[in-house]
Amino acid sequence: MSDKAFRRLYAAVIAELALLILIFYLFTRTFR
Amino acid sequence: MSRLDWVVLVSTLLLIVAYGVWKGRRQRRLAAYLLADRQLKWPTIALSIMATQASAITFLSTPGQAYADGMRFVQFYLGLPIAMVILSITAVPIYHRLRVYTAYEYLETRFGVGTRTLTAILFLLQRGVSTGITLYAPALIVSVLLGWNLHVTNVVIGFLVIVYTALGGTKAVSWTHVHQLLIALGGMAVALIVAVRMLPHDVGLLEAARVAGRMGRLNAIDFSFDLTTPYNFWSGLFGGSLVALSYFGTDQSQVQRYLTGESPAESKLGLLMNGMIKVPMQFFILFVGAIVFVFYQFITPPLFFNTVERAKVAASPYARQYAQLEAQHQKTFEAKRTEVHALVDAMRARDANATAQATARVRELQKEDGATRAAAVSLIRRTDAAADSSDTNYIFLTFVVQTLPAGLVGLLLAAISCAAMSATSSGLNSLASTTVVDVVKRLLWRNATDHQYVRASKLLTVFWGLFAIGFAEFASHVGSLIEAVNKFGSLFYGTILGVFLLAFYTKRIGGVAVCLGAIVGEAAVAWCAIYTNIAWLWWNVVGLVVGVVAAGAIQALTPAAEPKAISSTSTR
Repeated sequence: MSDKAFRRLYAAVIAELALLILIFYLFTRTFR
Repeated sequence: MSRLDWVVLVSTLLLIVAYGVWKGRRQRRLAAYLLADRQLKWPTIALSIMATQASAITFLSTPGQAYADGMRFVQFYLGLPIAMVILSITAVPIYHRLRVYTAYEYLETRFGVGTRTLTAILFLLQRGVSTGITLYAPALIVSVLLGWNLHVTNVVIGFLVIVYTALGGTKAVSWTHVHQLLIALGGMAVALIVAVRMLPHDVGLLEAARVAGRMGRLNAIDFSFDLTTPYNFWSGLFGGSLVALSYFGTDQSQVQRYLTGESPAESKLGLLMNGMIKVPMQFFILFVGAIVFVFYQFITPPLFFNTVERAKVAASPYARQYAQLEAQHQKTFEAKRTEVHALVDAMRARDANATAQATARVRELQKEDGATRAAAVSLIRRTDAAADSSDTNYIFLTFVVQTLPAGLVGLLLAAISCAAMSATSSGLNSLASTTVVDVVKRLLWRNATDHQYVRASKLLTVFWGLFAIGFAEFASHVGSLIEAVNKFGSLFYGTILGVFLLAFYTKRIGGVAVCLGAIVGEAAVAWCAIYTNIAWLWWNVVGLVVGVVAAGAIQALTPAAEPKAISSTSTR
């Protein structure tokens, strides 16, 4: 894999984390 | 346990051991034995990394944690993906370029043999104890709930792990991890399905989630900043990142998993996949615990889940008082069950007023039951001052044993045993590697043949296996076990991480300053742990910051002591 592909993958991991935090936040709010 | 359960359990464990021995056969070179010839692909690396971290404690204690405290523990893992990215950029290329066997080997190129030996010994100390706990925890819980002999359980599981880890080395460990993790996760999925199916017919998964949420069990995110709260968004992001950086970047039990990669790209992909899967996986395990909590809103839970402590009170002068508390618990439970049904009906009818009223009543009854439980714990402590007053670790297995049909109990016990074996095998494998590479080969026996080092590694795997079994035999209760393991690790992680960060990113700080800085960092962590109520996740931050600042200050104050001029990019 090229460096560029890895940079995209790093961004994807962080984007997934941000998405999970948002989902957990909505989950907590919805079910409290 | 039925005969079918025994068949499922025993056959799964024997198949895993046989598979491990077969996969790891005929390895005569040290690189093959300790690093699987550096030929593994990323899916195996990713699953092996996850199986190493996911011990039996993860599968037993985490659902109990959600039952007792809600899902906020998931925040502990929020820093993990960030750490995976950082390690992929920094540590993986360096470790691969230097072709090291252990993380500590790298430190010698930067700070000299003293720092390498110090960090290797800190690792052996911490991982030796943790591997003992990893073995002891499930054995204790299973022995309490199923009446098995604790010593026999310890020895049998320990022996099975020693067999394939010693014979097959890293290759056996990594390949068995793949199957062990899949079995363990499959077991949890089965438990979730059964828990949902065992709920009353008018309560589906969505209603169960709503009830759990109303009763404070789906609190996955808390943005409030509080240094004394163990789990919130901030401690998870900062403290959790540092724990993960230190654990995955400097703890040989994890580093060894990705050093087996065929190339830096395979190792990076393994770490990044772990970063993507781990948080949802922990969320799932916690969610199983939250649903088990809802299940026990309709079926009476024991007042205290640890049957051994319960039996002790029953045989003590406090037996009558305890029986009264149990009667009170039953009465509260019945009233609460009625109110939970009313809550479900109100939510289904979308009646906001009725929902709010039912929620208030349920919470009031929950508080009442909490007071009854606290009184019961107090009686347990009065009966035996050394009693284990936390029953978090017993909740999930109680549910499994009491609720699951024949065959599935065996599957769940196999899943838990697999998880125990996976974490223990990584521990033994890394303890043996570090002892051979950083102590025996570097300091004691420098000119032996590869074959002799392999033999020494096998003997040391057996030695550390016996050490773990011995520790498990002498260990006593340690509260919530998943917390205990991470808490113990947090005494060292920050400081060790500081040493590695100085190695990766600075050129001007030498070995003496780093060693002294590490000692000052450890002293600061010890002070926090003993004299303050700062939550344990922050100890990692304290160890890191104090260790790094102290090393920098010591280097600045002693200009005569020139640092060793080898940068992180140098090779040997």
